[in-house]
Amino acid sequence: MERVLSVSETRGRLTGLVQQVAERGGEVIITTRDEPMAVLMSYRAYQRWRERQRRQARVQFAELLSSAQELIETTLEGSREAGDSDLYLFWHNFKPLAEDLWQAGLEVSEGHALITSTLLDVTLMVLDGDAPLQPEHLAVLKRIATDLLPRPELTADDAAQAHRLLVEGGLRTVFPVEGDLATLYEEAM
Amino acid sequence: MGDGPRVFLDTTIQIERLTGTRARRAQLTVQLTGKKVVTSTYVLGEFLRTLVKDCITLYTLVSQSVYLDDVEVQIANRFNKREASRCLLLWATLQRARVYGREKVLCTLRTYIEYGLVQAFMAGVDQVSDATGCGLAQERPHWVEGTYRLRAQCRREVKECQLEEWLAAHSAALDGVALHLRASEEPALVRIGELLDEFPQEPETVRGRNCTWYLGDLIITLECPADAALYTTNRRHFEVLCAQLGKPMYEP
Repeated sequence: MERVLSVSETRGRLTGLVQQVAERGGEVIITTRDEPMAVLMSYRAYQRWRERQRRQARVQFAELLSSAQELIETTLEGSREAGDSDLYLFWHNFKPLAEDLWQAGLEVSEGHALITSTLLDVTLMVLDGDAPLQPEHLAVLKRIATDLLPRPELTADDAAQAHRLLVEGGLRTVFPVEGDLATLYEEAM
Repeated sequence: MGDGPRVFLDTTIQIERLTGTRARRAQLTVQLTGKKVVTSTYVLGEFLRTLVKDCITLYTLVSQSVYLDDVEVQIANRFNKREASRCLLLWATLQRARVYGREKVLCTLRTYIEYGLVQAFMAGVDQVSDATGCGLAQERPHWVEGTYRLRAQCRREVKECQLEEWLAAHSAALDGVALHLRASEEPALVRIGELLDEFPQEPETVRGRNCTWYLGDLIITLECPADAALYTTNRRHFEVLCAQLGKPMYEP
């Protein structure tokens, strides 16, 4: 059951409202100047809602990943050498996918969020540059998309591994810094 | 175009009909007038993955650039010679049509992509044969999230045409061709010979990039009807293939 109360109406009644939603369920929508601003719900209902959201995100993530894999595979099949226009079109088509993957990845796990945000950065930097594009770059993306991203849980260590693969594959993952990025990684390890 | 002798147009001629110099295009029109003009769905597939895809590339480049001269710089920096040349041929087509200014260029490219180029491919063509049932020939560019997409490449893992069956049906004609091609000094012809050798044991080998990269010239030569002459600018490959398969080449 849903109730709507203003902030001033909840003042002095918060303990009772918390007990009510915790024991009987339902939600209380709290408004400020008639605008809904917050929701009070039981922690158990909140957990259920979050779990549902994560499950949906996982399904969506898997669908997006499958589209990305298909795009990578098809482009790799068709591109012969550096400077093929297929590669240029690939990065343009991959950009909206990378954005959606990142949005869904935020809900899947910390590692998914980190890796997909890096992929989006890489995509933006590739498109921003003017160097000939290499088929080898896609081989790295393929490895990440088939070996890492389908895993149900990913950690910051997995994200570091993806980062290293991208750098070793010749893709810039952060905005330009002095020195060679691959060397920086070797020194850190 | 007519009821005269039959001429089968290869992809190179189909592209030249659109991007050749004014003199060359006029010459082609004269040459094909009165002939019965034939082409194929496989040629259309090649046309889509070259000229139509290039048009999408050009559209994307223009839409991402504030100034039109940046487009030429990007073509020079980003693309290899083969791809850059084709993009510049299309660019020249726009100049020839007196299409200047970013918005007008984008608008014209949109019409090329959405129907203009395929319409031009079909113009003056009396018959489009469909021997291989090429799945890519059915694809058309579509607009997705701010950009055009065109599936221009098939994959070995997915069967979407009748190429295997069609090649198997022509095994008698292909008998001995592989041996001859493998002895060629032309790497592309040697590769066709190798693929023909692999084909009986592994029929799916002719799908994916082997079809779109290597077997195209052989497929087109085989598709050319017995009573038609094959018209191409790529004489280096087709002279050998036509001689092997007993097909005449069009001599203007």
